[in-house]
Amino acid sequence: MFVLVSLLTACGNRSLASTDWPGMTVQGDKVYLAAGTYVYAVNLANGQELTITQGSETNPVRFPSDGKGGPFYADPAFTSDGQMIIGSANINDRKHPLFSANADDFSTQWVFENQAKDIWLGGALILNDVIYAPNSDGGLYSFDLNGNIQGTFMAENSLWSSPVTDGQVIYVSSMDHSVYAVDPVNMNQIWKTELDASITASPAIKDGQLFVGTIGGTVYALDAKSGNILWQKNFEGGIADQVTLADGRLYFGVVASQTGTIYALNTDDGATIWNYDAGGAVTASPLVKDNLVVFVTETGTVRALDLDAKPLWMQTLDAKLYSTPLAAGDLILVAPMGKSDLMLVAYDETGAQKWIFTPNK
Amino acid sequence: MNFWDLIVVQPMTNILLTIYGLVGNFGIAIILFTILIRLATHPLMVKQIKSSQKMQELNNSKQFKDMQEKYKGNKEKLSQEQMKLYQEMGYNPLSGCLPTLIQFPIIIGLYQSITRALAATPLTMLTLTRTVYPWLEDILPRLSITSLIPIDKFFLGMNLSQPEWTTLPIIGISIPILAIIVALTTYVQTKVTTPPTGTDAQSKQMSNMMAIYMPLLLGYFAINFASGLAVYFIVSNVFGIAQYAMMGKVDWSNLLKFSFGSGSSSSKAVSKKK
Repeated sequence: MFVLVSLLTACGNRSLASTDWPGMTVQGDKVYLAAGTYVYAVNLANGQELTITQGSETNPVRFPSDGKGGPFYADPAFTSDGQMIIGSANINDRKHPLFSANADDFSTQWVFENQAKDIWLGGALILNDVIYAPNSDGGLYSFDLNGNIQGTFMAENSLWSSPVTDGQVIYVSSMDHSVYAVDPVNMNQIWKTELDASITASPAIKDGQLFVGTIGGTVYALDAKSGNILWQKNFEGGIADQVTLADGRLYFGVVASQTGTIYALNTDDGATIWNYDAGGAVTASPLVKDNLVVFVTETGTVRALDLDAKPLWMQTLDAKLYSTPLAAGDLILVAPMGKSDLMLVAYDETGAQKWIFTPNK
Repeated sequence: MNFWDLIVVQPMTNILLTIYGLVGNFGIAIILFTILIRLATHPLMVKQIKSSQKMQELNNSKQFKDMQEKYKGNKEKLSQEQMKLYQEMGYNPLSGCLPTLIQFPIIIGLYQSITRALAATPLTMLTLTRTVYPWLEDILPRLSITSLIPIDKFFLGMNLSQPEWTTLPIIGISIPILAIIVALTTYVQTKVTTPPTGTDAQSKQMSNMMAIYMPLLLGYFAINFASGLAVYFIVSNVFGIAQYAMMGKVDWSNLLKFSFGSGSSSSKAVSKKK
């Protein structure tokens, strides 16, 4: 019986290492990393964690300070008045809290709890000083900057990804196989388009078109005004992350069991421009930065291609990589999963490693 | 995929999802899956019952009682002579443990299968897509991963991926109803399916402790883990009682009897029979 207790309770260990895909957001001169128990604020210049000195003691500043409330995996969102918004992904916490914290010192501003019915996996969208936070209960909750709930839109199933906006309408994809357009003022549905499979990725929006991939491996282009499907193209495997739009192309990764492929398509008609065998499962979309297409694989590879898929450089980390790389000035940031001594790595555009973030225990 | 996943979690998850694909309700899928497991392990249960009966007969035999009297001051010698007697009678005391032991990997495997099938996070979703046998959709298209996901995780108003707490109307207090039912059914099953084990005080005390700790332990699991696991516990307990009843092995008079005494005639020792 002791063995049974140990094995079952092992699922709830509190190591610093992230047990799911970390989220991160660059804000000012820092990158905020949501990776399990804590959200960390890391200085982009040197990879050092934000600290506070009281008397002779210098301690890291993390959210939450007591280490309770997490884990956190969503991309932190930031309001114009300096709040960081992030929700808990703790499935056993019946309160399912969404937190607001001061982005500078991580002091808690307000907590929305006991109303959402599930965990928060997608990052919030901030539009016109209104916070739109997606929950796994299917709710898109809107709040003012003081945390007062303004309205709710309910999808038929979980919302795992961040909503996006063109400034007028909010678009959100759901595990119920649908993409929704929602009025940000009254939270009413404008249209809903059902696709072939569940969607874990945010849509990408440009020039009145939405582009989104499903776990069924189909990429869709939708008319943002009507939701009509403009074109669709199926690939073997599944698409887990938001497609990347750049210069009339869309880039994305496909995971098929243990393998992965990077694709570049023409946004006009979905024609394949090139594809590249990634050498491992790809769950994250590529980062397109200047003339680089940077992608990561589950097997720990960070690889850069040029815009014609010619390999430029490669780095390998002893960790699993599931989250999309982020650009921050000249840096390319990669957030490994499951390693407490390797939580964030910064490269320059030549692939040279600039720093590694390892939190103090 | 590691060995445990390959031989336990992956097959269990696929059976669970196949049932779900057929019935369209994850709660009912867990119930049917539990009954399937109970039926599959029925021969082991019968073996355990026979083993218990044989043990009981041995413990009540004159030879055994004489032995206890003879070596009552020498526990080590008594233990050696007991083992010798078991060997002579062709009884293996460990044979009764197997059905109980086999429950552990099933419980752990089922818990992992439920959480995997319900895939509450991106990583578990990725794992799920790798767990589902690709040939399932060749048999039935609705068993393809794109058709199965998202799994409907609600059953009788409960989210099966989360611990269950029900808020009572009017007074507004939340209580873990499912966990309470788990504890009660575990207690009832432990008590009514346990035959008396003779006069051995140590066995009685251990059995009585099991009747307390098992309900508390499983109730604790039900409070802290996905409620789908609690559904498994409840169905498993109720079906287990029904199996014993069909074999005429249920003793309802045992339900309210409880004693830590070593020689009281009213105390019937109990032992866990899961």
